[in-house]
Amino acid sequence: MIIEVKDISKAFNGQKILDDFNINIEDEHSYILTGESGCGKTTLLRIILGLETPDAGKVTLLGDYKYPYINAGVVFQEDRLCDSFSAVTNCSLVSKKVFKQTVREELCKLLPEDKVDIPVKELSPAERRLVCIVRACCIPSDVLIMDEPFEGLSGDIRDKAISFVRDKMGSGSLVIASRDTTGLEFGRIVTLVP
Amino acid sequence: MSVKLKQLLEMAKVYRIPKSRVIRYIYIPELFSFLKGRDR
Repeated sequence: MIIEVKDISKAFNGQKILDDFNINIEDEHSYILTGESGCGKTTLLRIILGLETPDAGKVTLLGDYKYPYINAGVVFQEDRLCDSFSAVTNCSLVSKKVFKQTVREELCKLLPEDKVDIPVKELSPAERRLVCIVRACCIPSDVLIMDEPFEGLSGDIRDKAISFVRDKMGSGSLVIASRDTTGLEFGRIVTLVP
Repeated sequence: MSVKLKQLLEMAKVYRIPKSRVIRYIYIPELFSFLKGRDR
């Protein structure tokens, strides 16, 4: 599948955030959207996901058949977890196609075993971020779309999380929005300017 | 509607979570949390 982002423009309160932006997101390719805060990274991801309507231009899904929607694993800028439920429940509730045992195994690759069955509100911000990453990666998807997924992660755990995402990307595509591109040089770096 | 609820519903939309799960995992806990906050 190719996600064709064509001539996208978007303004908020008269201020143009994106101006005739174009990119083709292809299978088996990684794209790292970078740039200063406010340059339109999050807006672009939201437009791709259909959460925001562009002022001009369009997003088209091209491929072997007509795709009705983007089947994406998503990490939002905020955690967006159901606080009272465990990491296992948070990851398995997003799809009927995943089993709790599989989810638990995936979570244990990034988190200690004793953290996966307690309510996520009891986890540290970094651990919650890791849950979000696993949630996006453990469901079958055509594309992984991640907004600042490694924010708050440092050192070994950041490297481990990056390896995990690359491993889980499979034959789909990967789009990461991140101000810090350290460790993300494997992807095509696209710098957005405000 | 709280910002948190709005964000969770957006997450549910993106992942196309079935309505029954949205009620069980998002609306009901949010309602309990609202009622708990009101009782204080």
